[in-house]
Amino acid sequence: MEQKLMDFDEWIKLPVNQVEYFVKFNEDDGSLLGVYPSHASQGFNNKIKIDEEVADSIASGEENIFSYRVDLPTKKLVKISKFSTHSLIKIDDVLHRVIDKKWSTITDPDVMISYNKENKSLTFSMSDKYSKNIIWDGETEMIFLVTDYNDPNVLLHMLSIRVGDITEITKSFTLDLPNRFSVYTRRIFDKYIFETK
Amino acid sequence: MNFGYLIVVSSNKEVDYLKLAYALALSIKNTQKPGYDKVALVVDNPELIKNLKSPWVFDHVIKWDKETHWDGRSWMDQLSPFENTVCLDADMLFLRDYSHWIDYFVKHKDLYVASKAYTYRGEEITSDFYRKAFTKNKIPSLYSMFTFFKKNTDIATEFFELGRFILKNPIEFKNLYMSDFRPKVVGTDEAFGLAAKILDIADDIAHDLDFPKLVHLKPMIQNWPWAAERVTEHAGFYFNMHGNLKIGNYQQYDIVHYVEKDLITDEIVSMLEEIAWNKN
Repeated sequence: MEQKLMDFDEWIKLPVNQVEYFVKFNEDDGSLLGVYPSHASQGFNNKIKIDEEVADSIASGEENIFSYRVDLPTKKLVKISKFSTHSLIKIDDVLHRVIDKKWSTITDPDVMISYNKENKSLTFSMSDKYSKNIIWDGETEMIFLVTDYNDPNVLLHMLSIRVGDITEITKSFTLDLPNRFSVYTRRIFDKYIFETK
Repeated sequence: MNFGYLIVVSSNKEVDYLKLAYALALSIKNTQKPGYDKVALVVDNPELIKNLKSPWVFDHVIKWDKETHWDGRSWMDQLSPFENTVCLDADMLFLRDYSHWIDYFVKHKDLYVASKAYTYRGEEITSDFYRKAFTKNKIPSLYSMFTFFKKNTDIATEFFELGRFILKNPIEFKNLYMSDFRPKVVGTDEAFGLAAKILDIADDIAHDLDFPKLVHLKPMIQNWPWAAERVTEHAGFYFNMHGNLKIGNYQQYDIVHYVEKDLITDEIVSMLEEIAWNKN
């Protein structure tokens, strides 16, 4: 028996059969148990829909299910970011001088520090890319040493900030600082920049 | 007294030697007293000097392009405009007044080549990690980065002529004098060491003195218990607005041969310039 082919003009109008992806999660702690296409996830109650991008990155090995967690109250997928993204190997990592914007080639800093001479306020902020759906893994304290210009041996102030303090908002300190000073820190992120206004 | 420092540089795709020479000249102007702060620059393209903010730090600019890179230093006796000269490597910084060293050399020597170097902690370097060709072949270990000479003296003329001859005939001299450990390249240090050995003048031109004190920042000779590719991977380089330099937490007082060319950033140059402007 011959199969009759559908008319092409009608066929092209049909909706594309898109695969949707779901993650199954542990209802106690939100950890992911698996990633499934929609047809394979029909029997699960503890599941949420995820973007195809995320499913692809897990399937390709670029990321894994431990990189994410379900936020139980909101039932949203959140990315777990390792707090330290930079390996601490050299002295410049352990005691990293934040370079002035004037001398730096960095255009997309992770952490920005600016000093307003008029208000005497030293403000810390982070790149927008860290502001959404990220929870930080482990200890998140960042220590900033405000020192004599280019000399960490002469410490003026030591400031402690938790990364969550500056991911969506800024944090300012009122400090009366000399005309020239430097800021040093443990290099947790790759790119820091400093600016005086 | 007619005395000055000579710096020989040539264009290089990877390293801006003119910038290093400029930083060194600024540091000389900032630290040496009048009469001891003259600087002559030998460069293949003098036009580039116009791009510097303070080209006046070079009292003499001499166009010369016969040799490239560091080999040009072997012509120092012919290139220097001074009666008494100290020829320096470009990647060095002066940190205090060393004029008393110069007084000694001018009074007592026709030729003197440094034969000692120090770690950033002030320890004399004894390791031959980079100088096996010297120790294995019993060649005087000379550091051409600080070479004092009086112009047109017999010993200096003979020494530099032989040094140039060695540089131009490296294979023959390696075969004859360096058979126990052949260096890949016969550079100025090897040529000077060989010339001193052949002329048997090492005791005259490189005898033991407490100066010049040269801090040599090559990583494997810092008496560290670990291997290192760069000194600044393990010790910070902190230059301040008073013209003082700390390496790690050691204040530096002697001439620093920093080796890592990228340490001289535009920011450091601007600091040296500001110190010079405030002084003058």
